[in-house]
Amino acid sequence: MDTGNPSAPRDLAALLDGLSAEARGAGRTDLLTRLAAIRARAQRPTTVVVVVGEFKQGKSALVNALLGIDVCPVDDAVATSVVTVVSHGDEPEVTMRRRGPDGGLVQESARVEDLPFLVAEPSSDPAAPERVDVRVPSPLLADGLVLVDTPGIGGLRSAHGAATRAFLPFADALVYASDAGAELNETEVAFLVDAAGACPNVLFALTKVDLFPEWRRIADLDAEHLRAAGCEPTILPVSHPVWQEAVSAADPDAREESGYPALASELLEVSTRAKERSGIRAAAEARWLLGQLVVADQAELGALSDPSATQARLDELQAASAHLDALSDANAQWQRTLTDGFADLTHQVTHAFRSAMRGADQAVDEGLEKAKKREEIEAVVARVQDHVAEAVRGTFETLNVGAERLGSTVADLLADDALAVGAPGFLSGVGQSPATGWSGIDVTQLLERGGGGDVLAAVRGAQGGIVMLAVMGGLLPAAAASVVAATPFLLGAGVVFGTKGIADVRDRRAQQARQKARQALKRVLDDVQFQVSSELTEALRLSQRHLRDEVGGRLGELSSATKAAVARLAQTAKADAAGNRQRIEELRVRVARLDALDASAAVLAGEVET
Amino acid sequence: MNGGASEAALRAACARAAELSRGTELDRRVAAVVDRFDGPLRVAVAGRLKAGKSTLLNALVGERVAPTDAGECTRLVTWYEEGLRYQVQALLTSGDQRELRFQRGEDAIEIDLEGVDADAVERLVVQWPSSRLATLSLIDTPGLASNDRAVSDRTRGALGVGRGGAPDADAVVYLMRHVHHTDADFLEAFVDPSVGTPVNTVGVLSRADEIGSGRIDAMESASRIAGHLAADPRVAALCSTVVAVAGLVAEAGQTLTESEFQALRAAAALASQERGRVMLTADRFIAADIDGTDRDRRRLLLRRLGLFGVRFSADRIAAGTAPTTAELAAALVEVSGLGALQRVLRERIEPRARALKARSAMLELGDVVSELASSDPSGAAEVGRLLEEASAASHEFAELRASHLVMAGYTDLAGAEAADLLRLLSAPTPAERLGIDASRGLDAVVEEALTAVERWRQRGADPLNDPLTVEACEVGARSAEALYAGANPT
Repeated sequence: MDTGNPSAPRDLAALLDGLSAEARGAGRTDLLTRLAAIRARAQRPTTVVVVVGEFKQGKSALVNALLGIDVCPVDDAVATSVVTVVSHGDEPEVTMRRRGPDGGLVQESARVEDLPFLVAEPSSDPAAPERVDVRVPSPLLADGLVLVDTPGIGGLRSAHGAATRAFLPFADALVYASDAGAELNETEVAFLVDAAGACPNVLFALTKVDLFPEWRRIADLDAEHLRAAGCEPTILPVSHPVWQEAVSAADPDAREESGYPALASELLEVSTRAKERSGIRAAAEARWLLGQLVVADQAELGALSDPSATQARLDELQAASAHLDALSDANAQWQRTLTDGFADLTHQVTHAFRSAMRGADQAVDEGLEKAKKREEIEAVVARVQDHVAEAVRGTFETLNVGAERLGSTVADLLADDALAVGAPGFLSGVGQSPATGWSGIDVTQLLERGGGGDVLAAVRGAQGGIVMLAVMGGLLPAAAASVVAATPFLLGAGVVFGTKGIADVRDRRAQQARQKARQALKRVLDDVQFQVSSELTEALRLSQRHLRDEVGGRLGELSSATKAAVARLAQTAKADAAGNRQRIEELRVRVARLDALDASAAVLAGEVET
Repeated sequence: MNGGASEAALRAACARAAELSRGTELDRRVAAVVDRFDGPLRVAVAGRLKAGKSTLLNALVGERVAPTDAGECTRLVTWYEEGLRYQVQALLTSGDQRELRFQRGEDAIEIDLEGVDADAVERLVVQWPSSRLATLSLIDTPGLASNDRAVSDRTRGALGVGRGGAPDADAVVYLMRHVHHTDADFLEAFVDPSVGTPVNTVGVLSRADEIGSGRIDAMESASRIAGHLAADPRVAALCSTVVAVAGLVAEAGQTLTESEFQALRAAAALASQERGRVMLTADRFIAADIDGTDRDRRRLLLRRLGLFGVRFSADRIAAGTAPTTAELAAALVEVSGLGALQRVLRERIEPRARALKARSAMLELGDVVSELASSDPSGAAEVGRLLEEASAASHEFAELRASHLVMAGYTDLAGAEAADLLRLLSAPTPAERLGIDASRGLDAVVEEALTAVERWRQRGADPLNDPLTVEACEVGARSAEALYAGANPT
């Protein structure tokens, strides 16, 4: 694919402009909504950048500096405890998602000034939000970049760690924050190696370089550790105090010195690449729309050039139109396939999730039965967290794969249908247009590549992942905290003061602690089950509706295109010879224009070499 | 109180054990028990790798004795004891001793292992003529959570975990990082519980200057965090208090040289705004153009004091509050939190030194007795009886054990009730033990002591109590009785 074409965004804009002018000219105003959507997606594709790091490594300061706005609270004592999703908005806006008393999801907007209280601890408050969405007018986000600030992962075994790892495949880029005070430890290196495998762009921000004169040595050591582990992320040193100075003194040198512009440009690079990919998709979609516009013109042109075939074409088109109407009916086979398919998928996903969760349940029972020491109880908690993270990740994965498969099943079905109607035939004799329009192959391709990629966007990529991260990010730490809180009595064996009487009490306390830990874990598992199930139901519903709307919408467009062609053919019968010649000329000019647009779209879509 | 009777019984037990073990393998252990009891309190400095243990140890000794670079030596357990001359010995696992050559280097002493395999070394013993080591011997331990298992095991061994007898340390200064309370590693951040008890463990929130990103108010911020940590019940079960300490700043304060002071004064001479700009980052400070100091000197200053230490010193010098090396050194020690840590050691640990050492001696002797039992059951029983007597005669032990039970959460006491009992068991003066104003005089002590006797007897008599709660309350009642007797000589 020809990426990195600097004029591509301009060419795409020109193509879309030309296309909307043609759609208006042809009276197909129904296409304008889709065009606007295509344009928006191309200009601002969602690129998710997740910011990860251990506790107190300067993640929030980093997010603020990148955005140029203080969004996340920075405090020595207080840590971010909530997943914060920051995206672009013309006006600052805060929405928080939390669980209502019945466990259902409540969305409320909040004041920007209250943000620090929402995202900082303590998070044990049951009414605390599990996710906060912030919209800010930051230039970095203007192209669709979305920053996800995560709570500190706190060691690889920690709860947030498990949630964050499971989220990585959904992110376009990862910024790992670690301060220059110490070299990366083994668990951090392992996390980064994992991350590099799961996420296409990994950036390593070495924070607080202002504080540590030895930061260069640390950076070299880190690079060495990572290279030895087979991963080579870009290491970017950054300093928040220098950035603050640069802002208050409006000093461009200090701005560079802070390291943030370098980090921001790496992120913009990621978002530019995403934009290129979305441009390619947009061009492919444009070709589909061009195909629709040209259908009527070519049908009319064919009829004018060879009036004897007009009736046959009219019959064909009317048959196609009737068929398309039938397809739009709620009882059409693709509709039934979709409905049945989603019913199956729902069953499959629910079942997979339940059995995966049963694994976590068993881990609790088996693990705690044998656990005597606190290390063992902690190991159980860690194992349960991993089970849960894997269960949730696996479930969303099943959902994605299933929805994608349904998408292509429906596409295939429609393609077969199209063949059955003889749809490719009705275009076969018409001109030399590269716009193939209504053909089986096109539908399949579009559902898979063009529109199809976006059909699944509701569950795939960012959204599903963020939902998952937020749910786990809220629940898993709660699990850890409640279990850890239940274990202190296992401590302080204290041989120093003798063991008389202590052993009995300790055993009893250990028993109680196990019991408490078990109850705490089971309660958390119930919560996970309940919340994830409701998220899944929602995700399934959304993706079903999305798929139905997308396919239905396209069929509707085709139906309009066909009806327009029918109307135009009907008109040709009434025209006189002189009018015909003029009309043929007009149509030729327009078809040539559409062909030119299509040629440029084909280049932008990477379907032909320049 | 009745420490005398207890000590006499302990010495009698030692003497009897020495007679019985003469000529056997146990001979040396018994002698060591006596030495230990008569020697200084042994305080282990423990914590995770890179928590700044060696730096803190230097600060406590007041000299740069501990190797701070990541060489082999920090992987070994090192004891620092008062000695008549400077001397380093390696105690090998085989039981042999070997004197090692060493050099006082720029930053620390450099010890030459002379080809001795580090794995064959049980510990290094550094003898140093230092007045600060007269009352406390210090034990430097390698990181507990070291990636190298041998290193962790050595540390556990040094702290007496997983073997009979008493731990090597009588008390523990435990360095903790700033960890999140939901962190799965949270509890791992603490020393193995078989050694530490809240009674003899002081928590230190280390690298406190970095927690506040080196800002000039960094230490206040770190102290607040230390306060939160100490209030966490899980931490409270392990150490009685948490002090925020900036080890580097403390060490520099203890060992500040005149030429370092001059260099800092040169930096302080910059105009305030320029100083702020230059000292914003370590890089800028090194690269800056400052009359009277060169880059290498400034690089060294940063290594010695850290960015916070440099900023603080320059501020104080510029403000005129630290016009001399000595005054700046004192200010650094105070701001670093070392002063507070030393106060805690002086007020909470040292007054209990005899009891803590006696307890260690008893544990060790108890282990000797159990070994003796196989060859000489009646002799062993005799020493055992003497030990029981020593233990029973000391109300101080009982208080320590009761404090431990309450703090570590073995009793049903909690909240204000637990706090009252702990105060009664361990505060330094009668008035403080009873929680009354010292100016109220003896009559008030008598009156309050009687109330306390009654309160803890009743609390201990609750039929729902478990045995350990009963024990703690009864000890409390006896402590109150002693206070009554002390204030009411009739």
